[in-house]
Amino acid sequence: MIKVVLVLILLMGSGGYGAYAWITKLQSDNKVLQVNQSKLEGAVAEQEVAIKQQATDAAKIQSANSELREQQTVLQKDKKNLAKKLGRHELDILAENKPGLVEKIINRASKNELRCFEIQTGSPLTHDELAARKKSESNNECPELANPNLGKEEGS
Amino acid sequence: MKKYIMLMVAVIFLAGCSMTPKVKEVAITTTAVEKLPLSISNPQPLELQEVDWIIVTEENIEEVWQLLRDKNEGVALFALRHGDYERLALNIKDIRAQIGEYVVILKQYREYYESDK
Repeated sequence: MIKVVLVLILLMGSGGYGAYAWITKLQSDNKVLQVNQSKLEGAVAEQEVAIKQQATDAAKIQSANSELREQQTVLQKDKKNLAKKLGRHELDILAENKPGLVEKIINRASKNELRCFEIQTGSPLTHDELAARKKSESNNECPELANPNLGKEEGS
Repeated sequence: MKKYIMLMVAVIFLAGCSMTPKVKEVAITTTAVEKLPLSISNPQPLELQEVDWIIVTEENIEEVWQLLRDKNEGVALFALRHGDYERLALNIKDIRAQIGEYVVILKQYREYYESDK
C-alpha cells in the first residue's frame, strides 16, 4: 500500500513538475513573442515613416524638376523672341538707313539685357518693374522675369 | 595518497583555465554623424555697367570721328558687323539661360537639403 502511495506521489510530483516546467516555458515563449510583436510593430511604424518621407522627397524632386523645366522654357523663349526679332528685320539695311533709331533700339535692348542678368542673379525688382503692366513699360528682353505683373489688371 | 595528489593536480590543470580573467566582449556601436552643412552663401547679384553702342555708317563716320576727337579719346572703334552683332546677342541670351538654370538648380538643392533644418 505504501508503495502504491509512493508511486502515486512520485507520479503526481513528476506530473506537477512537468506542468510547472511547461507553463514556465509557455510564459517565457509568450514574453519573447510579446517582445517580437512590439519590435515588429516598431519596424512597421519605421517603415511607414520611411515610405512617407520617400513620397515627400519624390514630390519635392518632381516639383524641382518641373520648376527647372519651366525656367528653361522661359529662358529659351527669350532667346527665340530675339532670334525672331532679328530674323524679321534686315538689321544692316535698317542701320544704314536709320542709324539713330537702330542705335536707340539696340542700346535700350542692351541695357534691358544687362538688367535681366542682374535680376537673374538675385537683384530685387524695382518699383517700376513691379508696377509695369503694359508692354510699353516692360523689359522686352525678359518680361516674365522682370515684370511679373505684366498684362495683369490693376489691383489683381 | 599519490593517487589523490595526481587527481588534485589533474583537477587544478583542468579547472585552471576557467580562473583566468574573462576576455571582455567588444562592443561596437555605430552612430550616424551628419556632415556639417556647407553653408556657402549665395553670390551677390550682378551690378553691370552700361555699354553704349554706336552705329557707324558711311554718312555719319566723320561725325563719329569728330565726336571721339572732341572727347580726347583714341580715334578708333571696336566694330562688329551686323551678323556678328546678332550672334553676340544670341550668345548672351544663351549665357543668361545657362546662368538662370544654375540659379534654379542651386535654389532647388538648397530647398531640398536645407529646408528641414
